[in-house]
Amino acid sequence: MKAKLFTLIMASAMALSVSARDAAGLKIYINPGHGGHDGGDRPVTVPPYEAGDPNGYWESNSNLDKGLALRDMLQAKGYTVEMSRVTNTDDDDLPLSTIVNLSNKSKADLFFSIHSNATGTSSRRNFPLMLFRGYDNDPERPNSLKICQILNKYLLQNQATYWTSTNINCRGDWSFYSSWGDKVGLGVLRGNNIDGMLSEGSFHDYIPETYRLLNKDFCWLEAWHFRKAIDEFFDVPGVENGVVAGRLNDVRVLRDGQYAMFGEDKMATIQGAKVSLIDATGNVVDTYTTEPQHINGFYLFKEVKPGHYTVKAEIDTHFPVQTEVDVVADEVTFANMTMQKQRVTPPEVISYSPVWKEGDEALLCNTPITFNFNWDMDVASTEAAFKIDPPVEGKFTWEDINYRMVFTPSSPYLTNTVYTVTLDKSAKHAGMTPMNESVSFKFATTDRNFMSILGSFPKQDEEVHYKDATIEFRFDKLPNCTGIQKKLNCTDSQGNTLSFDVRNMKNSKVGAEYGWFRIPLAKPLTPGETYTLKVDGTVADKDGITIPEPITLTFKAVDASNDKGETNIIDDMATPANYALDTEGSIACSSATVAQTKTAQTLFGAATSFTYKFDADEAEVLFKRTSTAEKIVNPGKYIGVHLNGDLTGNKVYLEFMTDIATQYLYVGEMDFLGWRYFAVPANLETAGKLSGVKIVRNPSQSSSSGTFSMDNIYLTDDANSVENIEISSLTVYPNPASEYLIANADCTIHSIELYSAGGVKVAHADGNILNVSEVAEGTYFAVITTSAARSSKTIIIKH
Amino acid sequence: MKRYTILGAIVITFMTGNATDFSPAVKLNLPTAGAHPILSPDASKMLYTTDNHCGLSMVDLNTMHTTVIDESMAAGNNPAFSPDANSIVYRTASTNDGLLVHDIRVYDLNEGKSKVKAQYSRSTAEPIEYTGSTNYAIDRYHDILVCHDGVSKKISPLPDAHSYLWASLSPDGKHLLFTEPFKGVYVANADGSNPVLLAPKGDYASWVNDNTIVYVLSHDDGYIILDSSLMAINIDGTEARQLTPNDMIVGEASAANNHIVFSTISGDLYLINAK
Repeated sequence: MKAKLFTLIMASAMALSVSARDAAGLKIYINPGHGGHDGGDRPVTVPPYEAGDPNGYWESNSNLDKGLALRDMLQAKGYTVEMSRVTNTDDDDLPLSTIVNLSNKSKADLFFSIHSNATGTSSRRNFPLMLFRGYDNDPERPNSLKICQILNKYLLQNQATYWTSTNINCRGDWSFYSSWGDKVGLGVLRGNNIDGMLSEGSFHDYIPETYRLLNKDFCWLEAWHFRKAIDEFFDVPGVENGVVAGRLNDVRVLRDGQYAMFGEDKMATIQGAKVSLIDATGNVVDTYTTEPQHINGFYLFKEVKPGHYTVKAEIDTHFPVQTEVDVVADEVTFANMTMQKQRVTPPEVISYSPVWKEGDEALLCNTPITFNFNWDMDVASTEAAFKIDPPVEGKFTWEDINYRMVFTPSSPYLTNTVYTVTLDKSAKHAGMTPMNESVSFKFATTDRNFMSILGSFPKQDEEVHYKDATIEFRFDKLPNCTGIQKKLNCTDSQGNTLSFDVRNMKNSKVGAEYGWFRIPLAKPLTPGETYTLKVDGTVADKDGITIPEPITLTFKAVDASNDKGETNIIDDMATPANYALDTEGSIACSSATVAQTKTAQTLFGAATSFTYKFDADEAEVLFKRTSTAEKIVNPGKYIGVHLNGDLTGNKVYLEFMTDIATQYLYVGEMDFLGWRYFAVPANLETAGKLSGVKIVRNPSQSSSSGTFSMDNIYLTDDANSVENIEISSLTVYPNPASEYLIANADCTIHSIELYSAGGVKVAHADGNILNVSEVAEGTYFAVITTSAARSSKTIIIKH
Repeated sequence: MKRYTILGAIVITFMTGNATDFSPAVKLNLPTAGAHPILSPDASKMLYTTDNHCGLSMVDLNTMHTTVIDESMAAGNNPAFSPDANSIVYRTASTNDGLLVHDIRVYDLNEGKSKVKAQYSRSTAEPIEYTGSTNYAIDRYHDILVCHDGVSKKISPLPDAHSYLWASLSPDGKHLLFTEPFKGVYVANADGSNPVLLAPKGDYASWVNDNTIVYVLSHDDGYIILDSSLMAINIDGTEARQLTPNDMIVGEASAANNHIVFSTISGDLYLINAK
């Protein structure tokens, strides 16, 4: 011990004998930057202060605290000090040029401007920045760079803060603020004829530093480093005593706050702790209580005689800690300490959710499970103690500095299932004491655990008209459309991403029968090109219930316009007045209109748009021509139709008047958007003329209303339809059929539907086998839907 | 040939009646950027420093002939003409072992040379005190030195003043102009009595003539001057007006014999005539 004391005394003596200059006669001009809590000031609002509270953090406050502390330290050593302000009001916030002239007039030997820095952005950091007049590598006054370098060195010695960078960071103001104009620079350095600098000591909008700068003693510590730098700059000896400073942090509790924090700043600080400085004989020579209202855990002992000390920290909530320090003259001895919280009772679950009992409404299938505890909990043992039955994969998150644990299922719970949640008593708090009792509760889930997709466009392998291509998805509930476009990705075959026309995106509103969103692609597609659409699996309804899985599909761009020539036109659909609602021919249709298709959406010029609304599942609407079309259609030909679909899934028929009957030719199902060309066989019993358009509801949640357009209808010899593609490998047999109709092809067959000549569906089966034993004898159209296309075959049923 | 450029953007309406009238500001085409202009008592010459506030130069406003007087540090900070305008007294700053020192130098306009009048010292007086003038006022931070007919007296016109800046006597010697940084721009009797506040803030206050002064009013954000204008006001508090447009940021200014010179923060120098 004697040897150590001798060393300390010698070190102190050497520190005092290095230089001999007397500070008397030296004059320092101190400029605490900003002032007045006004627009030129820089506040940071942090609890417990409201915005605008002058007691909260303002740069003018901390600059003044540092300036006054520096003034007192310098004057105590014999320096003469002038200050640009000693209070903080609007009146003492002098213009910059006034400060410059006062500084010049004062004949000070050093101009010292005190500031702190701010990023002004969400990106936070903390390090000193020293500014001198001139360019980075060409200071106007070399001594100004020298004082910057000395001060930067001392500021970085502060271990009671956390520096995100410890580089020396001295900049010329003409370089740093080059955007202000050449040689403009800082107002307090412009025209200032003495050595000087501006210190941005730390970043006051790095919130842990904000709380430290609210502590006047922390500001005093920065001023101590200012004083050290000034002493060294002028070769003035240091002071006889030292300083002990540090920070108290919890050893494991994380700091509570949604702001950037680094290093030790991530740990909670200890407020209201009593810190004692005990000398080698056991006498308490000083005490300090860490601020209760500011989250900094900072403590400081000034004027400490060199020697060996014990620093002890105590507070009711934590176990006491202490450490040994050696204090040296003119130096700060840092002693940051961590404290272990005293958790004096076993942990308990003070509340949990969901709270459910038999008879209550079932819960959403994505309901998180939350436990609130009386203590901060040990993460590992508590997560291990969690059990849910039936088992569910999920992830844990911790909130409120580990007083709250939240379990979120990775995928939805099972529907209509009662789950039992148990937190075993082995769960421990951070002091590693387990719970006295386990906690268990149940909850039941609803019958819905995914957002169902009612319809979409495009579908896998679907062909899409290249112009005005639009993506649409329909769901059983309203989707959460916030940022939904970011969950879609469309690329061409080269991997180039296509842009969406987000401004023209539309989506369902509250009260809609089903949920949907529709988003156009920004540019036309390239006919013949294959595209890939990916939909993120996180697309969800407003309750957060997601679609079953991510979607990846490919589709092909085509030009749906199929010009068969003027002479083959049955109806160019350019005259909407040719069609009108036929109420007698309609069923459960409350309204229907015919109009001109919007010019921007036409295919061959003018087209006709049909809008309808159904009131029942079994419904249909007939738009009758005012007179039959002139063109005679003979059996054996094909009818080519251009349809602009509405994704309702409803079925479109053309009505023909023949000499013996009215016949309906099935054109296709409206399960698409944009233009599409259909070519269907003119299976008429005899020659006929086009007399109307019929829509038959295909009952679903999204089929009750729709708007579609129709353009040129041709009489043609071929069947080169986008929709009704002839699949070479497709065989439908036997024909005639009596009991089963079987379809086979080298692609997957999804369904077989059988339609009468009048367009009425008489039978349907998923898969490739259709039971026709109950179907009346006659000629039918079998529509086969495959993974590649839809195709129709004429089939005879004969028993 | 005078090398003036009238700044088209600045159109100052001449006032009528007893008010001082001001001409449009004319940009002075000088070989280098400048700052801190000082007019000679007859307003025929202007002293200025470089845009980095180093050295001292002089321009004859009739011929626009410029002369570099000194390139030393701080030479342009408050130089003063002798009463006969044949010499210029100025001081330069240096550091001696880290300590600020000033000397006094005298530039003889006839010889075109400078001589050191007082060696570098920690206690060098203000240049005007070396000009031989017997009637002047000079601020010295905590007080004002007023010299009447060769008799000097330290005064503090405001009892609780923090400090003083830009003190000067009116051309007729009857009034004292000064600025107390925290209180504003004042005019008082020549002995400092009866101080009257003219403006709550203002830098570089200077006499245009016996009745009118100008000063610079600026606002900042603590780092950079955001706006700064040249203002004029009669010493009876009337005819307050702004002489420069809002988009011009004025640096320093001085006036004499019904002329005003001022710099902008970007280093341009302007002249305004008054009558």
